[in-house]
Parts: sequence; C-alpha cells; structure tokens
Amino acid sequence: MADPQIPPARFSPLNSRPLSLSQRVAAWFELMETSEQFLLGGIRHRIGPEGDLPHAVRRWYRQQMEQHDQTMIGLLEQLGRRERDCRHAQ
Amino acid sequence: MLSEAVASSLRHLLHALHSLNLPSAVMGGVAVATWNHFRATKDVDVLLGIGGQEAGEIIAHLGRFGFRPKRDPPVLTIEGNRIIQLVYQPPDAFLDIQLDLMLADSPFQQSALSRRVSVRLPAVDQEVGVVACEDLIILKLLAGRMIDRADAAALIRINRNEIDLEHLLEWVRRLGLGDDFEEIWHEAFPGESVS
Repeated sequence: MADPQIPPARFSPLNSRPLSLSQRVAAWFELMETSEQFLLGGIRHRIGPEGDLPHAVRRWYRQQMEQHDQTMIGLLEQLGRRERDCRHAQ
Repeated sequence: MLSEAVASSLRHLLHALHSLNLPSAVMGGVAVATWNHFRATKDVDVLLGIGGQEAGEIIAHLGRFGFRPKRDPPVLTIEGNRIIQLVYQPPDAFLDIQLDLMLADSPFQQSALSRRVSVRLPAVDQEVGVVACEDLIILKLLAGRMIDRADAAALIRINRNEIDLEHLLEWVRRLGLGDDFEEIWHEAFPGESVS
C-alpha cells in the first residue's frame, strides 16, 4: 500500500537534460546557493531589520544539527540491529 | 555563506584526509546530487574506512587541520557502529559546520565503501569518492524519515536503468528492509511489482 506521507512520483523533480556526474554536483551547488538566499530571507523576516542575522543563523544551524544527530543515531541503531539480526539468522 | 562554508569544509576535510590515504565516500547531499536528485544540505557526511588505525589518531590528525570534536568523548558508538562528529569553522565563515565521519565498521558499510564511485566535484575541485546509488538508497531506508523515503523513491525512479537491482535487493533482504523497499518501489513505479 502506498505511504501517504511520500509525495507521489509525479511531484518528484525530473531533469530534462542528461548531466554528467560533475555537472550534477555543480547544479547541486547552484541549488544550495539559491536555497540559502531563501533561508536567509526567511530568517531576516523573522528577526526584523535590526536583528542579529549571524546569531540567528547560528541558532538555526544548531537546531538543524540536533535533528540531524537524531537521524544519524537512528540510522546507526537500525543498521546495527538489522546486521545483528542477519548474523543470528544465518 | 552556508553553501560556500559547507563546500569549503568538505574541501578542507578531503585535503586533511588525503595524507592518511584512507578510503572515504561522501554520503549526504553531494551523493544525492551525484545520482541526479537535488536537495539542499547543511553538513558533511562521510563514510570512512580506517582499517586498523585508532580513531583517536584520526581525530588528532584532523585536529591539526582545525577540526574539533563536537562531543566528549569524540567517538560515539551505537549498536557497534562508530561515528566521529567534528565541527570546523572555515575562514570568513561565522558558524561551525558539522562533519560526521561514519566509520565503516559493519559489513554493509564496508561493502558500500568498496563500491564508491569517483567524481570530480567542481565545488571542491578534486576527485571525491561518493557512495553508489544502491547503497545511498539503503542508507535512506535506514534513516527512515519521510524526506529520506521520498529521496529513496526519487533515486530509484531517476536511476532505474543504471541501478544494480540485484545488489540492492540483496542488501534489502539481508537488512530486513523488504517492506520499506516495497513501499518506496510502489511510490516510484505505481502498479509495478518489484523486479
């Protein structure tokens, strides 16, 4: 059964032209730079014109990395448990 | 700012690792982009094979290049798998970028490291090992968040003709990820059975 939380395949971006591996990474870097402008714009909007942007970005980044840490820990837990189960099953 | 800081941190890490001559493979946003799916990333995630070397030696070596442990003790062991979390502040940046070095301790990680592909990264101007698409899909399934599952579905769909499905299904079977895989397969290819 389809997972309703995963966006349908038709919403996934498709590249209209074939890119080399290096071109893909260059495109990724462009995307990073563009999305960063939106991010900074959003943070500036939240803190107002007089707000301390570097401080707000550092705080945002810390929060992001806390979530990231949970993901990495979860990934390693899953991997460790599943490999152990696999060893026991053999 | 952030994108340049991430690229700069990756570049500096690769430079620092170079003299150690250890196999490594990038796993995060760079890896996703290599396999034709784009999304922003905020940190550097690397799979690293350290062989018989002590993790402490690696950390001390990287310390000489300005990388600092994020936590004390610096090596986190989870279900037998180790990860070293570092932070680095590139010149001209105003925040510490996080770098996660996942040590290739387990059979899957060792397999993924041995199957890495070499890519020349414009952003870092050097050859870099990147995890293969099949292994990236497995990592996404293990991470399990909604966004990771969406990434996995997109990676399968976009790279369908190039993926080594036999290899992918073997690790799906070994790691008991069959149900998860079937779900993302049906999202990627509605109405098609896994084949």
